[in-house]
Amino acid sequence: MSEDRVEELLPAYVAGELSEEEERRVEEALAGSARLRDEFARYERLFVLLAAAAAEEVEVPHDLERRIARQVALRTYLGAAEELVAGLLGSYGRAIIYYLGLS
Amino acid sequence: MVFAGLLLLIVSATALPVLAIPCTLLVVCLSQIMGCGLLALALTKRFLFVAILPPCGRWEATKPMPDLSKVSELDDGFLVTRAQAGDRRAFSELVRRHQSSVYRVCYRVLGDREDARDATQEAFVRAFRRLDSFEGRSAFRTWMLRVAMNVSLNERAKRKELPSQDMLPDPLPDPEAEVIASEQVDRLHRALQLIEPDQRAAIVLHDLEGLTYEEAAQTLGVPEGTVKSWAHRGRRRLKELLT
Repeated sequence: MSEDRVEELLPAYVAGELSEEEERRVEEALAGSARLRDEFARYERLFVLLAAAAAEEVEVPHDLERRIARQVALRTYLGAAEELVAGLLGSYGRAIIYYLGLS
Repeated sequence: MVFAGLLLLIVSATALPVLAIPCTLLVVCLSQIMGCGLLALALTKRFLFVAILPPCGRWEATKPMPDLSKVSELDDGFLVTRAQAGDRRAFSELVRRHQSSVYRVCYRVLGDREDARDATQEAFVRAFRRLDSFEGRSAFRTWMLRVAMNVSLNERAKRKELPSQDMLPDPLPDPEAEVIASEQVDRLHRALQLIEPDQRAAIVLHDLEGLTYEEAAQTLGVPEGTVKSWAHRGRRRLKELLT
């Protein structure tokens, strides 16, 4: 397996997503190349950081639930009002056209 | 006169939904005075059935209701069915269950708490309006994250300016170091803003949010292999940026 190909497989290798066969080949290549070992170490550092970020508590704003409820209510009213007006204007428009004998 | 009343209705509904009800009554009275009895009837019926009843959850009041005091024990699928019938209490429970997850995804895609809050609100509003399109083929969470991801990525694309790479100065700590300082996590969040949206989406969902590749693929609407390749390419970019 070429060094470039192994390098491509490194992120999946660090994540433990390779087949046994692929893993074995990557390990062989790692043993024979200092550059690949360096790359491997960089990926390891990245994965440590990703794990730390995944574990980090992202604080949800305390009023989020209330805000969502308000927005959902407001937008439902607006949507319905819009529909109502469009419907009425449509009826009036048709009535006027009929009244003026344009149809 | 009727048009004036209608105008009043639109203005009031836009400004404050609470005013919509008295204003509707006003329009109804005005149209009665004008001799438009039928219009008044149509207006009352339409507004009541379209705007007032469904959000109040009384739309389906005649159907047998489970004990909603135990709403937190019901599963997502059932709550979605109730919410699809216009039950806002069921939808509120879905919001309560999934808001953290949706907010985290928005925050990680957008890199800003205020923007994440707005995007979360928008995502839930859209979800509520499009609930009918949820067919239950995937879990509600996956579907909801897809809506959130679309809102966030669109929002992100609208903003042209990107954080500069100068914002990522410090090298990463040794993997042996026991505690990763929160600045390091912040650096990762900033670096996420610099990579391709597809790659960012894959990394946020799989590496940070802990979805399986299959779930992430459902969320993003692409084959599993595509998500994997996005994640691998994204990790390569992050490695270049951060280590």
